[in-house]
Amino acid sequence: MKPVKRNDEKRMDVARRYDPFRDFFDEFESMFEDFFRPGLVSRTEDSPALIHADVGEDDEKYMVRAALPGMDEENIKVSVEDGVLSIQAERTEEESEEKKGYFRREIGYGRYERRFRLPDNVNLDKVDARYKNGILDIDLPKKEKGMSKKEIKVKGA
Amino acid sequence: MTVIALNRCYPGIREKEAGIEAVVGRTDEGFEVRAALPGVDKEKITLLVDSGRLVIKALRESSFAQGREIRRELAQGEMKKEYYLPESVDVDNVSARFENGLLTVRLPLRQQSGPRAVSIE
Repeated sequence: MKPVKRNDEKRMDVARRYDPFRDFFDEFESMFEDFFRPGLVSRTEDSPALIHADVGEDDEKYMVRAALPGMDEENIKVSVEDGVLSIQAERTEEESEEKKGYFRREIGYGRYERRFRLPDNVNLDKVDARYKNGILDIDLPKKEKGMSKKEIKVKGA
Repeated sequence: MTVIALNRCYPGIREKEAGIEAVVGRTDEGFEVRAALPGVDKEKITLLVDSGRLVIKALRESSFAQGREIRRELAQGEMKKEYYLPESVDVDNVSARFENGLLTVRLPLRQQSGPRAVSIE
């Protein structure tokens, strides 16, 4: 599956409204930007390959759908630290396949990663991740209105 | 990327259409194609093989049944990959499995019979 490049027209449209995820993408993606970016199954680089993902939201949550074909769920790690969601995965080859020799060089194995800067209104206690049919589903529930709001009392001198 | 690997290592298999990311590898019995189809339902994959051709077609729905899309990086809709196969592929014994969004197609080669003496009439 080929990643879809976001075109400039859509980018402009997205930039016009407040988009908490956009800030992250622009900042972090350049770290992994490479002229010859490794793909989902075909990579030979030693550095981690970029995981491609769709991001969406509804009233209750943000949703990340990351493409990780042919993985074992034990080899996928999801964490949140300092407001950044990290997805890390590793594809290991079965021993029988290693013996085939030729294949190892061609098929994608190794490390994959992706980071997203999260908006402030994510309820980190309720983040949920599932792996099914080659897609990692991460649901990030939004805090209820008011939870992230706090009145600060102004004291006199 | 795939094309380079194919042409360099396996001149027998050539890529015709590249709508799906896939790699071809050499195995003991022949070739193996691994195609990345994350989030595609097995029922939405069509695999066609005849003498000289392998076609993989797939349909992928949107990641979000409800809600608003903020960013799209994964392909949606119809996807197609097509290879020209060498004649030595044993078309009758091609098999495939789909697991965790990865389609693996095994393309065994016909058993090569050794040299045979031909009687002269």
